[in-house]
Amino acid sequence: MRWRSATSDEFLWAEWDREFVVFHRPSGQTHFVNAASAALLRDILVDPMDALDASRALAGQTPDAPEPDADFARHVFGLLVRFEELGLVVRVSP
Amino acid sequence: MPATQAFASHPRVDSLDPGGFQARLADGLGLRIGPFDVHIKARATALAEPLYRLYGHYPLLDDARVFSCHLRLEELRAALPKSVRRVRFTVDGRQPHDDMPAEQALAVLEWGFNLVIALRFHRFLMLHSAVLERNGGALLMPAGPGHGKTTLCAALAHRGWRLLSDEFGLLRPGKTAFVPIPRPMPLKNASIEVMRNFAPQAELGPSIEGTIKGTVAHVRPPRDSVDAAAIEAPARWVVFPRWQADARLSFEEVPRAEAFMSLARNAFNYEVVGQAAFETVRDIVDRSRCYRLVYSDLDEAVELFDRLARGVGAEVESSDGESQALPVAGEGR
Repeated sequence: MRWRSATSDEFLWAEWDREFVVFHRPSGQTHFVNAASAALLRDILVDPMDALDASRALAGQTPDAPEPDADFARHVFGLLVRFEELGLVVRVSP
Repeated sequence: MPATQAFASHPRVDSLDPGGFQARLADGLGLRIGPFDVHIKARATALAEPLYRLYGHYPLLDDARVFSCHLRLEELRAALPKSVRRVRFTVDGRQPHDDMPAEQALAVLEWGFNLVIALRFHRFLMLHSAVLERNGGALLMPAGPGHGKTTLCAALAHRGWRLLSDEFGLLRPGKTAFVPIPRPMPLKNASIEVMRNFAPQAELGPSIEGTIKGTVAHVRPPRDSVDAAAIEAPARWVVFPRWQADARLSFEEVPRAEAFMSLARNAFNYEVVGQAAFETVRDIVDRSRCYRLVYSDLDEAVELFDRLARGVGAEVESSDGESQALPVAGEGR
């Protein structure tokens, strides 16, 4: 199962001290997201990715971070499912 | 003609005598209230006298114009005892809610006008907030019911701050200056006596008992605030106040992203305005310092705002019990 983020022109971002607020143009909704979620939506999921690869890419953004374990990948999977419900990512056919 | 002068030459309500006002009110009269031209027609015995006192400073309008809305208040069962009389509120011929006790006519009119503003005037982004001005900067105080917003607002309006609104942070989408709409401030229950003690010079309307919010009494806006109703004020401070019995004064900075979400969630029409609302709230947060205030003593809180406006540092306790320096006023970023 792979996801990619909605196209960048669907988002408007505001950032203060590594905390983010994003306006999603198609839904008209605004979401408060932390730095990890912002990284997923803005950078990592530009290319379609499954939860395991996304969790690796996320961990890779932190220097010296350990290899993500199954719990972390499950957490990222949960995030992606939630993002999909909100229309922030779309599921991509294999 | 500059906006600040647009209504300077208009006669004010108090240029009429009370009897003349009551007669005009029964036939229908126009008032300039903030950015709105409001036509009010009311035949309710409990209304004319307090309305005359509370709106005495407002510009009277002639009838030869298109009004923003037509508010009507009609007393029903006028021949019956007071206890069973009702008033019917309508706006542009529509009745938005059931008839209410006639003795609550003033509160019904004020709440009805709030309803009309919130549901109709989407050319403004409407934040749910008190707004005051000092030294050219606007203080935004968003808060939920029971948090002491109106009490604090009325107190500041009588201690050197200019009242823009106790309820609506009106903004033109894309702009960061607040549009004033000074109106009577409805104090509830114990706050009425608190205000009488805090500012004996404040003029209050009648205490209206038994409303859905308990006893309500309206504070007349200071004349200076009404006279300056065409002068907008750019955002400078956002303070989320909360009154808490016996609490020590606490004042601390709020992360801007959190402040953004609180403002957006509590706006009347954020989602209606859409992207422009996001951009406007972002700009407001960008240019403001954002704080959380917990208080129990009105004098202490007002003094804190005075220091904030003057940019004077002071030791204030944060919510975790630590002392901190009160950040000075100024641009946020």
